[in-house]
Amino acid sequence: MKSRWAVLKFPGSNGEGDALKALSAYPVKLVEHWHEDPIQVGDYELLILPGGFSYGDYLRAGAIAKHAPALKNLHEVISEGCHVMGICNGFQILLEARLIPGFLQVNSSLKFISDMVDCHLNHAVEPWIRKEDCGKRLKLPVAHRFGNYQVSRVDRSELVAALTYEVDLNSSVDQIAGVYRSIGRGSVFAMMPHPERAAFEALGANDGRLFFDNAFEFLSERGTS
Amino acid sequence: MNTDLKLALSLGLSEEEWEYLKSQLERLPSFEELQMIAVMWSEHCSYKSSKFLLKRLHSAGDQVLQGPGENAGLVAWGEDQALAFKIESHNHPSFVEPFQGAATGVGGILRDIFTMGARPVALANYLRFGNLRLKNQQRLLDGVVSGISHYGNCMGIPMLGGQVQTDPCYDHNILVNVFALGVLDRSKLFRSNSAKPGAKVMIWGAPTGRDGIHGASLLASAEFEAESGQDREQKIRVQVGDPFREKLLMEACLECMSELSDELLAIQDMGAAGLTCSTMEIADKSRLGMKIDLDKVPVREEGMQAFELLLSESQERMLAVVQDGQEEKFRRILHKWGCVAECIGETTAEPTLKMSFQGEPLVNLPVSQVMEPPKLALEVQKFEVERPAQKAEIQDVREEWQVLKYLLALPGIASKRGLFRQYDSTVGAASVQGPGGEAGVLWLPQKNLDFAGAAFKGAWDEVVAEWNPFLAAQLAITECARSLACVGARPIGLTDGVNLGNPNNPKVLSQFEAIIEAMNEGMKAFNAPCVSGNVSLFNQTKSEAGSVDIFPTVFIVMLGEIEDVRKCRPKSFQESGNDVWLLEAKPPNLEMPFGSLYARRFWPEHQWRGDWPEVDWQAEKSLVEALIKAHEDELFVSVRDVADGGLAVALAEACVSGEKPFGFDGDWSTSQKRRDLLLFGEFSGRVVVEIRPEQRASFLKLSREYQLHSWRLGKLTDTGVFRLRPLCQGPVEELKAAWESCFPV
Repeated sequence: MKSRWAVLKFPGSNGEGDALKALSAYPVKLVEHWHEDPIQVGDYELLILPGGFSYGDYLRAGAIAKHAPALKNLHEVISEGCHVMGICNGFQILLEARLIPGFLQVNSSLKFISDMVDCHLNHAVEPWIRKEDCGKRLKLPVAHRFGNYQVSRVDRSELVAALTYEVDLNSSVDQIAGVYRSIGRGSVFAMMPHPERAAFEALGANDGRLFFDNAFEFLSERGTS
Repeated sequence: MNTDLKLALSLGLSEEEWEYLKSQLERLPSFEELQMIAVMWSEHCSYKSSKFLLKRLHSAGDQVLQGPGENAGLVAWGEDQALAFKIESHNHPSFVEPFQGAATGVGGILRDIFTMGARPVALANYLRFGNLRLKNQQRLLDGVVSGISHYGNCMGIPMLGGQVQTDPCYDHNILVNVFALGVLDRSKLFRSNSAKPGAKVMIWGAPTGRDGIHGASLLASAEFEAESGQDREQKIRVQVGDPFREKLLMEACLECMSELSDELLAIQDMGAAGLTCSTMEIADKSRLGMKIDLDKVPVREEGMQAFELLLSESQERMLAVVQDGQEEKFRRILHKWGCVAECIGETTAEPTLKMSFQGEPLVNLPVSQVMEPPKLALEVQKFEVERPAQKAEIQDVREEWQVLKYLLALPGIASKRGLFRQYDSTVGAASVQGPGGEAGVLWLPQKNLDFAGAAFKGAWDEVVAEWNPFLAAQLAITECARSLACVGARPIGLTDGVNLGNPNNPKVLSQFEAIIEAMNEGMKAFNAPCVSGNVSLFNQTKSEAGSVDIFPTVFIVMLGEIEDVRKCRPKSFQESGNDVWLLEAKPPNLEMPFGSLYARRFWPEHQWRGDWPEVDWQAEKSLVEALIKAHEDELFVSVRDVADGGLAVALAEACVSGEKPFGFDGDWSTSQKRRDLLLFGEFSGRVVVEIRPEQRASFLKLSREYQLHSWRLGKLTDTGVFRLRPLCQGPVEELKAAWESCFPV
């Protein structure tokens, strides 16, 4: 059976099309999932929370999205084997939903930062980063105003700083660009860079494919075994 | 309330217009009617002073699917798609309230694009400020950039470039023009001229409030009063934007257009003069009438009067005409996206616009009779270019290195990374070249062409335009075409953002006429017809001597088509050891660097206006063809246009703008020309190309085939020294620091 992947769409999301475009390269059953429809355990093996401004970022980025019907059972859905990648606004939603500890504050420049940045792969995390990828450097786009990640030492113990910036971009603690946490049989991977925007030969930017290639390989191997 | 001449004058109408209106109606207008007419006949909505000139613009071509007159122009894209594009100004609101003014400028142009049925895919902004050393100008710059960034980023549309220049003529009247590009399926194309009688009129989007009332008539179409008393009054005429609402409205409209394309008859965005303008436009263009019940307009404030409903410029609203009985289907989609959708009336065969409020008929206007104001008797005199009486004796440059660093730090040339980094330029996963590239380049597949792309480039030099508008337009068009060719794009169309002073000043219109004449030459030469545009008048700065018009500023943005975006090359140098060549259309017979930025800054005033050669379209076209051929053959490693600041600046920028700075080693000692002409001279038709040494023969062959001139400028090194023997040399790091000093990151 084909692996089932989904990209969640909120009012105000603007990265869902990019994620779908990037994932359409893989022979999986790929759907766009509307925020008002609940997600049940076992619906998807892989779920992307895309970038954008869900609900206009009213109140706080991600603060309203966590109440969406689609996210109601998220913890259970993940524990039962769904792997979630939250990109940019998706990172903010995962924080607001308390699936990732810490918080994102405004960049130290106080300005929106749109740039291509070098990122470093630090740890093997299933299904996104293999052991042999560790130490690799990826060139990925960033585009955010609230990307300055802060987390206390206690909270760090359950987290893996899987992705870091090569330079200090926004005063994120330890130059963290993405954090990973395994939950039951699933996981969450939250990151500020946009791998889905760097997954195309036409753009001369396809470093982001590494994550999706790995996930596809991992999930289809698991599916056949 | 009775209407009289005094009221008409206070609303911005002239005495002649008041008399004309009475004669057309054969009665006195009602208070509401007068309010509507005043705004419809304002310069901003009626284009009364510029229309007769705009009509002369070349706008025909096989690729043109929609020329000027609709919300945006359309050109064919492959077999079954089309590109919608347009540039629009938001100058006066941005001066009064920079953040909201610029933000709603972005909102307005995006609505123009998706009203046609197109999904917006790229933005660019063209800005002019006064002296940035003035605190107020810095405040305006920060506000405008944050406003654009806020709105565009939230909408999720990449900002791929633009222009920032400064001149004291903008000290009291900054310019904010925004360009947008969208793509649509040709079978789902929507216009405002296709409504039918007996259909329902709906308002979609946000509820109506009191913001922006009289924005079009009294803010955009009047001279600026800078006295403090008026400031507050003007501020309430600036609209307040909410990009989240616009995003929802956009998604809802696009879904309606895709799902209910047969049931949606006509659609018009509610921008300037809101409900008034949108109802009149649809009625006039579709040759029918409307019956509107103003009580049904969804409001967000209590106690709004009829004229407020008619004039409100609340953002994020659309007027749609839908088939009778289908309203519910539309309402369902709009509600899904959290948008209001209310039926406010119906279309009628009788071509009059009738509106009632609280049971009382207030408006009964014969649409075609009152759509346009009486014709103005405007005379345009042929523009005469002032030539300097005699040739000046001016010394050659002495401090070449210092001059080079000075030029690199000027706002027009310096790195804009500190500004552009605030705009999301990668959302959409289609940006091939973003801000800082030779042109904005977007991957936009066509049927059967998976790697096709669209490119756009905008240009204008207002200082040249003030002196010789004809030449300025020639230079802008050739620069656009050349930059597009550098990324392998063939021109397909053009949009123009016209920003001028007071049209009652004879010089203003004669400059504009000269610009149009030159644009027509160029648009025909490159087959890039003008399909859309915008005119902003009354751009003036108050000084002790009275009102002074800004220099004529006509942003020309050209659109091009690329067959394979994978072949696009960067504009920064890439590998040390490579050769750098100059490729020229037609070397001018000049002795001094007239017209150059260098001359403007370092020569006695007005001496820079020398004999600049006019553009040779044939030679320029040949260069463009050669560049496209080189792109197809992947001959170059990097390629860039030589623009402001001349050759030395182009080389320095190419050395320092990439990921790592390169040294440069060139021997120019064989040239007999003046040093300032060699280094800083500016003329059309030149590009700098980087090639691998083994490509020399192929490069020379190309140059010969297209009858171009080529000159080896030098080669790239790792020494960290920028050297043009025997003229100047120094550490490349100094050039980089100068280039990055103006807009720090």
